[in-house]
Amino acid sequence: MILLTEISVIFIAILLIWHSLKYLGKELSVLFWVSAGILGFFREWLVSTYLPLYTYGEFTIVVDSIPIIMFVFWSSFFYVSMVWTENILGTKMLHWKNEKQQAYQYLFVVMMSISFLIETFASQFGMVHWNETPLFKLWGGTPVIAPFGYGILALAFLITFRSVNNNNNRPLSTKMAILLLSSPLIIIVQLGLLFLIKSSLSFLS
Amino acid sequence: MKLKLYDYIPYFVIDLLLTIAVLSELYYENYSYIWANVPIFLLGIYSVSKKFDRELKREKPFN
Repeated sequence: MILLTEISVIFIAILLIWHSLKYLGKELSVLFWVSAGILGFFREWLVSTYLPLYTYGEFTIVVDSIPIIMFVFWSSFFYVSMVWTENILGTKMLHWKNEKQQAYQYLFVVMMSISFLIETFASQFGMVHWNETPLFKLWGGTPVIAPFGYGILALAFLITFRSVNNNNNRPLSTKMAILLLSSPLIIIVQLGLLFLIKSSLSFLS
Repeated sequence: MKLKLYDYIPYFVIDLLLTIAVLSELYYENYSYIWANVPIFLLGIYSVSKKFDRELKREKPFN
């Protein structure tokens, strides 16, 4: 089942990359998929190396114990949440002005909903083993902070992506460099906010 | 209204994952897990209906 999941994730990533080439254009697509791919993989590597919250099951292709599909896993769901939100609001992300706050709420909710689907499915086949006993659990023993992790990471990445692309005078290489250099910051923001949520939950209980 | 398959791709990918998830949850009799798929299913319907609503309004009336 893990192999089927890996094939499905790669298949959906190919479809979404093809969609984005027509929808965003070549330059924005390259920027989006490369920066989000590196961010996603780097995030997983960083978390599993320095903050062993969870370990992975027996994935087929791994690099330094991280499944290779992580290069497209996060970016695919960032892209889906972005397109769904744009379709709800009827405006493209780069043109959001007054609807910005509403858009960020939708992005967050879509990513959280995706996390319910993914984490529950993954728990069924031992794709992820949580190393701690959470205070509050969702389906399949997933800690309640996991959906927040999805939402915060997507929001932090897409806000950065949007602000980098608001200035059209920058060349692609500069935009790429800014996005790649901001990856550690995005991860720190996500993990920091998760720590705060986790501490608040422990305090409340 | 122009219903393009291309517009449906971001929904199709989630539908594909939803199908695999629901079928596996039924097969392994984890019936309570099926509830985890409801939020993304409803959000997908909401998003795609908003898009198609907009497409319908853009369509010119017949003379």
